[in-house]
Amino acid sequence: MIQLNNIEKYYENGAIKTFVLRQLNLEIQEGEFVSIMGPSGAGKSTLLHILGMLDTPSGGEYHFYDQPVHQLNERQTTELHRDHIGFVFQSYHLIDELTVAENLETPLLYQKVKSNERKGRIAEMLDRFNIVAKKGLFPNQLSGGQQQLIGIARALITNPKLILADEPTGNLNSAEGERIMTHFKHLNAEGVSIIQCTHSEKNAAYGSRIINLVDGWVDADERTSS
Amino acid sequence: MLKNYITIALRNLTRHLGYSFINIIGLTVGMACCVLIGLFIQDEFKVDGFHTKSDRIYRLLRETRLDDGNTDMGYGTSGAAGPALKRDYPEIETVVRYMSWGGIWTKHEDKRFNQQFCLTDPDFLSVFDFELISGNRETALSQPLAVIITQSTAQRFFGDQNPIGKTLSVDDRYMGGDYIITGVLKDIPQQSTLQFDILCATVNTFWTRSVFENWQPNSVWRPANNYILLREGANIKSLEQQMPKFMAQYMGEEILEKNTYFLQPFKRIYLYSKADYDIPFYSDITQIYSFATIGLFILIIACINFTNLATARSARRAREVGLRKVVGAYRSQLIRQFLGESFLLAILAALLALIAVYFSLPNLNDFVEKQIELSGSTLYFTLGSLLTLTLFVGGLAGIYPALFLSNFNPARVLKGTLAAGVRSGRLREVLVVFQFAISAFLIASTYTVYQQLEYVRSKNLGFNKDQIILTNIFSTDRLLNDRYLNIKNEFLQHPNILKASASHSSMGYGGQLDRVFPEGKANEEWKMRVLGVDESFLDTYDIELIAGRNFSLNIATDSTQAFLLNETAVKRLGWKEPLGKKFEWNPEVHGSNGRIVGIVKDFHNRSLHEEIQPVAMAMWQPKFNVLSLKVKGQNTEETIAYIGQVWKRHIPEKAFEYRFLDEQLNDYYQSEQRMGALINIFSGLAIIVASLGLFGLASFTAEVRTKEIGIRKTLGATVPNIVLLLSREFIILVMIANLIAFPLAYWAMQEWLNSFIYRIEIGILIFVVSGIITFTIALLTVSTQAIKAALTNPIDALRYE
Ligand SMILES: Nc1ncnc2c1ncn2[C@@H]1O[C@H](COP(=O)(O)OP(=O)(O)O)[C@@H](O)[C@H]1O
Ligand SMILES: [Mg+2]
Repeated sequence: MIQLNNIEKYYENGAIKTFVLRQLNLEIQEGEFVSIMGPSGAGKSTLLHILGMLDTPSGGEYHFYDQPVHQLNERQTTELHRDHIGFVFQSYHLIDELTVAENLETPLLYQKVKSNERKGRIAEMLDRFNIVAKKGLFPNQLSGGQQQLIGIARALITNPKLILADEPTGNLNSAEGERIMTHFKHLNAEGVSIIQCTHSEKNAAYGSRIINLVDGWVDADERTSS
Repeated sequence: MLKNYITIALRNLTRHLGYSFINIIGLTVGMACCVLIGLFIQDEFKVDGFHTKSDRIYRLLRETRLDDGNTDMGYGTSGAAGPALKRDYPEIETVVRYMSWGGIWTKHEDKRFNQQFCLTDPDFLSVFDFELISGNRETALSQPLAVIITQSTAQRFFGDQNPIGKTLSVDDRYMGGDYIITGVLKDIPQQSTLQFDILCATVNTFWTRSVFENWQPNSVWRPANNYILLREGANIKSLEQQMPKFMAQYMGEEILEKNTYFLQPFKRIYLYSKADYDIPFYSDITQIYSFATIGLFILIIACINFTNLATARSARRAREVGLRKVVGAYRSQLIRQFLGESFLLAILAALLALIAVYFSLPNLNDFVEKQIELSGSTLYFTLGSLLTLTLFVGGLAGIYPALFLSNFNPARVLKGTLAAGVRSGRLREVLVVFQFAISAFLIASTYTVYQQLEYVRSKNLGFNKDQIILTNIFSTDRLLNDRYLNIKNEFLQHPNILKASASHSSMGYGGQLDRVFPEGKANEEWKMRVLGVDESFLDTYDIELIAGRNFSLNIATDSTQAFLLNETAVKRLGWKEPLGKKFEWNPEVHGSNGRIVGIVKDFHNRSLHEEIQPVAMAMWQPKFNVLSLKVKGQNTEETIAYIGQVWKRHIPEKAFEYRFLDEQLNDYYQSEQRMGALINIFSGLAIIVASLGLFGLASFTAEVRTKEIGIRKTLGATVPNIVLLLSREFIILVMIANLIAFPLAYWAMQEWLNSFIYRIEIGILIFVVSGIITFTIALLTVSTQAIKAALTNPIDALRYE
């Protein structure tokens, strides 16, 4: 599904180039649950953003299925990630001015999903995450765990093939974190590919493959037994 | 999708009320001012345009080149010219003469009113479209002694009775007669340069005939105007080229040498008389330009506010942008969303502006003495311009924020590395500078306008205009002239009446321009304003005699043979020893033995729009009209009551009328004072809108830097430190703005002042004042925000992040 060849990312500050990702090669198959680990500043988020086409690499090639992402324009990559990828963030990133239901609706609007079907899918998501009662509330009226659930629901509502999660449990207590991870496990079982970044060994272990990123290099890449 | 956008937009609007308020109010004021100024300008351009034939109507002008090198352009032309033009030139459909006689006492039974009386030709109503309510358009004016009157005049004399066939009597040397009403006109619209209450087409007296039907090529008093209606398709240029031939044929080569006829388009009379022919009359197109400029300035300022606030606020919206991109928004969709929001604000502002225009229009009307109503074309204009402004503001002011916001890189925004907006706004700095440059420009300009008008108001006129009451007692009854000394004395009996003087005309009008014959200038044509005055004129007006003597009642010949000159006249004549020189004026009346007996210091017998010209003074008792009474400052009411009594004793049948001279003189400057005040108001609004914008910007800066402020405070920064930190940026911008504005304001004001003969010098003070005002405004708006930010508890600020 994902094929990275010699992906580079650097920031230029005057004449000085600061590399964040160096000559990265990586292949990820459909159905995998990958955990990316590494110290702070290792480039995990950067890698995830590049995978999600929110950021462009400074060099190298990126194939998503058979599409050469590095050759596509902004509109094409927007279409590609809109239709195939869902995002979950550490700090949830819900739109403050919209209610829970409206937040869930937003991706569907951009996919031009019909009104009736939108209602159906929102109801389904609210049901699935047990948050029907919260649908009219605004994000700041919810706890962190609840907000992250909405974040996941929003990522899932478009039925993506791939979920990219950047430290999804970083701001949650351990019980909340565990619930989220269980959700991911179920999703993966249903066939959704997941790539998450995490600091926690325990959460990483939910995945089927752990990649250790250090200073922009893949330091280790191993499959877990689970 | 649209619902989602509107939801977001409305929630943003209500959640950040202060911001929305500043933005919408700023825009509202901007739009309302633009529309009001637009309505005013539109109305100005409509003047005289309502006649269907107005494009084919021209007014005959006569330019006279004087021997002193000056030229004199006048719209009064020989009455005989009209019929001759019509006869000689087939391309002319018709010519109507029009002679405004001013206010004349008109009587029906026991009712007497002072009415604007005009003499014209029977064709008048076929050239001009004034609406006839009753009477026959073709014949109403052609019967002898027929008059048509306006509705108000009819109402005044006859109430609800039918005025047709009734008689109006006029007692006047020129216009006297018993006239029969044959028609009633709808009241003359205010958008007309032709204004009258009573219109007549019968030449009834010998005196009128002399000015209305003769050529009188040398006379300078030409009260008739000729309005030429061209045939359709006729060429005005070729007609104008034939005018010299025409002039020579009827008035002789000698007149042609010094005079030229011009044909002035009727529709340009109101706004372009000054620009085209230097006739200081009516409104002036440069005034229109000033207003249009201010309107544009206000709009620009409001647009800049809008753009600045939206981009400043981008920090708040950045995350939303990032997220929308994450869930699949195209950039174009985001641009549409933000443009939509700016349109929403613009539409709200436009609606409020419509309300504001509706309610402030009566005030504007009062102020500029117009009758603009929101109906028909003005309503379409208002709605149309608000729509245009909405599109313009929504689009222009919205596009930059939309592009700016939609361009955010989602990865960076969501990572929080993009401290979007507030501090990265080079463009915003430029816009703030621009905005404040406009404000500084307007302040410097309004201050200059104010000073100039003040200067005109308080300028030493060379005579004392204070505490002088004018009555036209002599013009009201000619028989009183012979007894003017007795009557004066009667007034002077009251202890509060200090001085009295009879004269032909009052100050301001300043005497009539007439041909004079100074010694040794037989071969030159000399014209001077000749003031007919009595022996106490100089004393009453405190005019200084610098050589010779005043008129004296003890010297019998003074009444016809003595003349005073002003300094300018002596200078122009080049006389070293003016006293005793021969001087003739109006020889048929005064004979040929005139002498100069005295010289007076120059004084402004005309308004300050004109330079002091040569003036001669003569005792001209048969033509006294005005009595000037110098009164004591106290008990004015009692004094006026006494004057009224004396008036009643002599002319009991006529209503007592008086005016204070200083008020009457002020009339000459009224229109420019009104315009000055209007410019002040609109400039003030522009400046308020600009400071609103700065206020909003400052509050955002403070808000975004809350964390920084918190940290600085925990590190020991004092409140003044922080206020300075937050204000410094704006202060520098305002300083740059002033530096840009000064030379522009200097140049523009110099241009404006050049249209005044008597004007102030632009000093450094103007710039000091505008500098101080802009700095004060900037400092006040910015520092209140900065102080608020500086006073917040640092812990709150840090927890907030
Ligand atoms: N806009 C940027 N300019 C310069 N350096 C950046 C920028 N964004 C991220 N970095 C750097 O890239 C490195 C990797 O960041 P990130 O991918 O967020 O690491 P991680 O998520 O593994 O903690 C960090 O050292 C960070 O400082
Ligand atoms: Mg990270």
